[in-house]
Amino acid sequence: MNILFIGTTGIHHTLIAAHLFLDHLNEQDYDDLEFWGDWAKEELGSPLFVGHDEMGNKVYVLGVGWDVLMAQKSIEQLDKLLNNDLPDLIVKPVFIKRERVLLFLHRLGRRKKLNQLVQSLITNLLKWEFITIQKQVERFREGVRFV
Amino acid sequence: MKIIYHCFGGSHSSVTAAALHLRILNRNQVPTTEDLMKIPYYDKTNDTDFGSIRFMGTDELGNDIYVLGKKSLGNRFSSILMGVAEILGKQDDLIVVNCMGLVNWSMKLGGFTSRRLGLVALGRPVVIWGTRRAFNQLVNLVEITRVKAIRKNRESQVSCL
Repeated sequence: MNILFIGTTGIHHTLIAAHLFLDHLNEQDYDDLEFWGDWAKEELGSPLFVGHDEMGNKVYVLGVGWDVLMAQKSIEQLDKLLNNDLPDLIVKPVFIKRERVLLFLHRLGRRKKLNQLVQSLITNLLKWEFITIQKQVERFREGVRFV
Repeated sequence: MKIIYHCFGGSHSSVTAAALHLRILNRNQVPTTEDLMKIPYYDKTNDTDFGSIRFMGTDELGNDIYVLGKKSLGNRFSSILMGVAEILGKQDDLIVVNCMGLVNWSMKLGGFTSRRLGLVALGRPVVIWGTRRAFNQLVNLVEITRVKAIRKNRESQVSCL
């Protein structure tokens, strides 16, 4: 089974959620996370592999832009189409309260000159949102146990 | 093989391309209003259809043809769907085609007026006019896609051997 965390961006809050799910994140120090703020990888548009969970599931992250729920719908339908109604993918959307601010900063961060400044702003923003992300991951983990 | 044509609303350009692929429309003749209105989903979708992968039919080579409206997600959506297919190990079974590049201003304006504003009587003639203008380019896109599908099918048959 594959687990895909999706969000407006795949290299910030979604990445934190995936690492929390994998128990890889002990402190709120995000700079060392693989793919953290990696705009080049994000631009490719492909899911980024983060690791395996204790059940052997492959965990990925993906940034899908503003309409996360619409993207979730398409991805889940695609999974069913390609696997003849036997899904091989769990899609978990991750949200934060300041979604619009994050997306704005993310777009701003594409400019090389602003990248570093934006990156530190996003880091601080997500420190405030940490509990929100953690709660979503805990609820998701409970759900996944029964799949 | 699954082939997904996608555009903003999944209502005009992608649906016309899918109809061309399925030979519902004759590629040698610019369609009339009646021809276009006979196509399933043409100028008939609503907001709940966004993100839904809708089946249009199966072509003569056994490829399943779908349409999808992805709002303003742009060409990135092709990468997203192909990337997901890749992690499922099914990238050889999928072709994703973005039709947005062929959408002209008449289609944008007519489509917005008809689908978003609900002013069908006003928007539909404009979007049909735009579709007829973009028809030859859509034929081109579909023919390229058909060739891609044939090649991909051959490659996967060879790799199976």
